[in-house]
Amino acid sequence: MSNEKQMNIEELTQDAHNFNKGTDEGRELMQRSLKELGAGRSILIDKNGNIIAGNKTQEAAIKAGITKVRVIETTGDELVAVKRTDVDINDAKGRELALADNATNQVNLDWDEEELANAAQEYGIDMNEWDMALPEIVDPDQPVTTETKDQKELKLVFTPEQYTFVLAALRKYGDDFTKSLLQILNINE
Amino acid sequence: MSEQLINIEELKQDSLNFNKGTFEGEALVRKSLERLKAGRSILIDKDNNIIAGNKTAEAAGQLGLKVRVIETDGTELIAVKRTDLDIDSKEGREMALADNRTAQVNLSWDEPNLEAAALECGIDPSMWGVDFDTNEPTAESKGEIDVGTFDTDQTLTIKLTSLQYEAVINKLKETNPDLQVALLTILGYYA
Repeated sequence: MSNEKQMNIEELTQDAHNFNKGTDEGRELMQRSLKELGAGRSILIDKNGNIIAGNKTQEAAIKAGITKVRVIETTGDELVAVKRTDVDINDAKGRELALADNATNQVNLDWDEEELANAAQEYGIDMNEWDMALPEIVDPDQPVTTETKDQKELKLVFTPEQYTFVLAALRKYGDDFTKSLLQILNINE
Repeated sequence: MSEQLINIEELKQDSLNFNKGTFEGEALVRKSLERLKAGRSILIDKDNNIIAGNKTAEAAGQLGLKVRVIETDGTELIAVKRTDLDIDSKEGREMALADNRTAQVNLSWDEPNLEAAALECGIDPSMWGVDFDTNEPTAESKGEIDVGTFDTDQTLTIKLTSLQYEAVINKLKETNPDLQVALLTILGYYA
């Protein structure tokens, strides 16, 4: 068994090189989850109190009014299970916690390409080992083009909600999205 | 609140899990546990049913890990502190990467289970940004959209000739220098 202590949530240190930039929608979902359902899975910190995983959760928890953190020390040889003694998985709160855990992870992820590249170089991390290829990472702030003779590809990155909206809007003009876009912008083919 | 050590077999997998998981994700979860050991906690209910982390528990069970149970009512945040890890090391950075990446790769929504839970418990998946429309063809099936290999649901790719490309860029920039914002504006997203 371990040492267990309580500390103020603001004593934890955010990761200055977080690989995840997060999203506005993700932040909202996370705050709502913490306010309405309470805290779920733990975050992960290193020996010096730096947040390894759950930087966005700590931020959202502060905004949701959570002030205390219970720290469970371990060397990773056992799995920690946070047991919500007030929750039954088969009621609405339990199901929403399960849904929120997956959904907030999905919606709140926006990779920071620069930080990934720096970490790969500085620490010798092989991104391929985690099914990632740095050159394929798309910077959401910049359009990316790929040229092949007279062909170019316009790549635009959207949040899932925006992406769904754009697809639906393009489909109103037909199933050929190149033609749809040109038609919408009044450009002759 | 109390703390106890139990066998992983005492935890119960969620029979209505919203996440089917993926083959690649399962391999990454296992690799993460083998190489970096356990990270963030899983979440269980008052009867030891796994609410979040079913796939992690499966992989941990295969590796013979014990489970330390931390009871809480959700009014405080739990932080698992790896006393052997420094974030500014290869292991620390890989752990940060693995946490995000395994969650991303291992997620495959189970639509029937979500629908069943919506009916039984009255939850609304769309309130959590999860929407399904099974009658709509997927972007990939159209052949015109090449979904990026990284952010699979966020990258829109449209093939154009060089002339079309320049015309599209110019038109979009007339509306907004940020091309994403420009297209969203033209399509009425902000209206």
